[in-house]
Amino acid sequence: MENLFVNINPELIYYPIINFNYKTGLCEISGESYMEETYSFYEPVITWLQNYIAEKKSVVFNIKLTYFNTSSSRFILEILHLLKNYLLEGGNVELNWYFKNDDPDMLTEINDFMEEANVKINILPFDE
Amino acid sequence: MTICNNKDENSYMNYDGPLIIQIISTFARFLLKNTTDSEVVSKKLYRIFIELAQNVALYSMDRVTLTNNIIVGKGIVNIIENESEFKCITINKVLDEHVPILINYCTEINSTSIEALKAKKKDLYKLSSTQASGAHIGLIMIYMYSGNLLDFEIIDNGIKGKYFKLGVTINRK
Repeated sequence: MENLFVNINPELIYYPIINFNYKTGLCEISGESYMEETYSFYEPVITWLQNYIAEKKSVVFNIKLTYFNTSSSRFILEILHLLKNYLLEGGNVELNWYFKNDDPDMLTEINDFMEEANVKINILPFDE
Repeated sequence: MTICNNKDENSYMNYDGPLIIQIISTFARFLLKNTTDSEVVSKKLYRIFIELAQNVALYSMDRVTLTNNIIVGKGIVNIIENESEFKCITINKVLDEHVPILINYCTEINSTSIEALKAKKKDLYKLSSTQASGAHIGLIMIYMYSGNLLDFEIIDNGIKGKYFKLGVTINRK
């Protein structure tokens, strides 16, 4: 498997940056997510993760999103479910969500995701 | 259609046209960078604006085909400001059969506790991805970001059809 790196265009801020490292298992999604075609963006991301998990490797999944729309949240939830199920199967998974202190709405979203996916997410301060 | 009813209200931003993503993004960044409010308020305005504008792009019955063959909804997006609040308003054409659905969604959201809405959102995520569930979750998110009741209205424009007007208030303090 290859690494997965997606950075559509720095000027198109509604696409997040995807940086998944096959060798280390460090997977990061950062920026903002509110593109129009969420399915075609996230489908290969989820496929990569499914293939990676099938090899029973460790995952450190870092989310550094500062905004995502409703359409994106559905796919973020799908990713969380995928990782939670892997965890339940005995997989080594660490889930981290970085957020800024001046963003209480994001904190609410993270807590809602934890509840909706029934998975523990470490909430960490954002390095500026 | 009247947007500003009160002489003390200022139209901070007004747009009538196709809600293509580049326009939404540019306007949203403008709001984030050019309001003098706290980060919390600016971010609320940013998120609510994007969510509302994308609802129009997705669900407006007035569709526009762009030169790259992308089809996107068109409508009105307006931001009104006064000393104590911002109000984000969208107006877009809807199908007659969607009117009772929208009224039902908004009425239900306005009369439901936050905890019950979180549970509702959870149930909606479990449904297969449909426009209806997406629109419903979107309205819930808008309400939760705002913390204020959704101000909604169906405007009957005669032979031109029916329009859904949605106003969302963001407190500045």
